[in-house]
Amino acid sequence: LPTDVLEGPSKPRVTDDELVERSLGGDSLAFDELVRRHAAAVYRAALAALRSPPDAEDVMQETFVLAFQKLRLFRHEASFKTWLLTIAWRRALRKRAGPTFRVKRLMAHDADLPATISSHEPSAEQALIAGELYRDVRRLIRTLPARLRDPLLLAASGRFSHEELSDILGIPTGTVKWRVSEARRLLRLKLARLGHS
Amino acid sequence: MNVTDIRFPWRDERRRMRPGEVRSDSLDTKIDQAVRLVMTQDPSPQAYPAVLDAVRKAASARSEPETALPWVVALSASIATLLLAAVALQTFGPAVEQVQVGIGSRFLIQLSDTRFAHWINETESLFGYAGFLFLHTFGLAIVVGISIAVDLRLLGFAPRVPISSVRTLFPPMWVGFWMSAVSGAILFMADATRKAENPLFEIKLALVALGVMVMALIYRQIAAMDRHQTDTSSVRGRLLAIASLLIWLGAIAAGRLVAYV
Repeated sequence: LPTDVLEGPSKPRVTDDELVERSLGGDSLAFDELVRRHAAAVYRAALAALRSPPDAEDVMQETFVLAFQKLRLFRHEASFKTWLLTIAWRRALRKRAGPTFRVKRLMAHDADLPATISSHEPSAEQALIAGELYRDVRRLIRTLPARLRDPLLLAASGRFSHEELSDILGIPTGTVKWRVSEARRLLRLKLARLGHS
Repeated sequence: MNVTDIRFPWRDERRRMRPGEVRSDSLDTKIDQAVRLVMTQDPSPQAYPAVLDAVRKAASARSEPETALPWVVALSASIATLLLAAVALQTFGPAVEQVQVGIGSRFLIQLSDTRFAHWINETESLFGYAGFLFLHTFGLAIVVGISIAVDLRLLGFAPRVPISSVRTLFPPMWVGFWMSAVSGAILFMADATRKAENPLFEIKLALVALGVMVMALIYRQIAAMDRHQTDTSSVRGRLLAIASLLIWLGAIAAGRLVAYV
């Protein structure tokens, strides 16, 4: 996908800030490029909050539309990516708190995090993890409290630094680290009780 | 990229072990890998065109209000011209007065003789005359208040307020305008014949129409400033702001005087 390509060894020559300026000047292709660069990160942030791929895609779309509409309010105080992810995270949390989403989750409690494994992963890894442990981890993630689960999933998405996580979640970096560590500890305990060692 | 190549942020953290807790590095690795696999999902290929389409639609929707502006300007200018011409003819032409008596007065009498107009006039409920008067005043306060804030910004006050933020004040201003217009029409019904005879009432309406026209022109001016990313208004912008301030001052004065003349 485009974001993966851009994260490769050849760094993009045009920075996000330059693309924002071009977009504000009326260059529609500049915003398309910003979408391509950050779509996967926005999607994963929404997925971490909602744990539902279709809802995460909805939030991703809403986020980019809102960012486009509010682009003039972007003051370059943080990076464009952080600004975008903060919008995505707030929208995802709002959706998660909404009655429609709650009812939907109750009705389809098993339709949680994606059951399929990304096609980018090597087959050996799939073979190693796609068994019982993977299923148990998926199930146990649901049982974690949101304040621990959110940082864990965001960190595991591999798209964000601790500082970015701190900005997105609105908590200090040290707290982010502790919560990730605590979530992992709880998962380990629960897995041990299920017989995984 | 291989999953095992990615270092988790918490991998190197030292954590104090709790009593009875057993640390298993192999289990930790497996947990890391499993959580990572859960989260290394990308949006479906169809999601990208959908996002780009939605953004383009938002872009075209944003330019729509500006396409309606010429109509708002033309309509407001026509109403203002007609009303001012009526005032001029009413004042200087006796022949027009006769026509008004023939056609206009009959309609106005019928209007103020409706059951609703009687109810407005006679009820002691707060939702009657008093309620509509409150809505009318409140709506006008929103319109004039926001207009003055916008005018002052164009004249150079509050330079740190970005011009793009000023644009967001227009939707509530239109809400205030319609609140005032609808409640004003109902108040007019209640006393149609007397108000129609008062030239100050027509002057007030003409000034309100002019005020709307100038605000539409100001909106276009602000949109142009926003496009060119400038926060300093041109001479035209300043002239429009001064005209707007004077027009709303006149409209308020005429509105108050209607009650006493």
